[in-house]
Amino acid sequence: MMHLYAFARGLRELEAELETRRFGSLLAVVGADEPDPLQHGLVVEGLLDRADAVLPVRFGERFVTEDELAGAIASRLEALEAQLDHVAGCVEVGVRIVPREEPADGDDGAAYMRARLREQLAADEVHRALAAKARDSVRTNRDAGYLVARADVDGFSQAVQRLLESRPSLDVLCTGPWAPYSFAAAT
Amino acid sequence: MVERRSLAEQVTLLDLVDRVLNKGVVVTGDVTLSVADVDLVYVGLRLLLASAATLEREAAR
Repeated sequence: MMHLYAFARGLRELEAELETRRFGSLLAVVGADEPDPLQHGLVVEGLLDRADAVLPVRFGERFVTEDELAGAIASRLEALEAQLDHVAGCVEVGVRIVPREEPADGDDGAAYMRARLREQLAADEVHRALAAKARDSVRTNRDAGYLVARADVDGFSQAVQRLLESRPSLDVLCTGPWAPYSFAAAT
Repeated sequence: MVERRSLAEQVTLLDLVDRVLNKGVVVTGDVTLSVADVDLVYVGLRLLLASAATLEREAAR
């Protein structure tokens, strides 16, 4: 059995329990162990420091034989290579925006909706400002993922910090850098 | 790893596990249960959740 962790390019070193298989310009990083989701995540994050490009694979992709692995990848090779090109040299920074204070209990419905609208507009503004600094961005409600060049991570986190200071009504939680999970789509 | 910690104000275990389970490339098929062409339940073949106890053990290690 092989567990598939990620696709990579420019891999400089590999942990002892991992192996690679080459498909086109991709290296598939596989291991014989049966990891749990946390172990899978830690292995992928570990690759981030050791490769030029890492495309994370969702937990649970297991293959019994080499042929089965090759077959699953062959039909998607072009799409996978394009995705790896897109995230090359980048990491993902997660940003979660939540209002600092929930509307007070005494507020009527209209006041509640106005408060939510103000929160929404302020959050939209923050996300627009950050998206302009990133190579790509994905947003779902309060969470957003930004694809940021590795060299720009410090500048990006400073921009998040500045936005946080200028918006006292919002709490901004910044996480990462992560492997670019939000930019690795099902194929 | 130092750079990683300094950026993160609060990286939670939940964030990592959420990413691993819900995002990322998929190269194998999924199973969709349907009746009369209406999808009822979407069941991912990857739905192999570790127990909470397993994760807590890992976190403590």
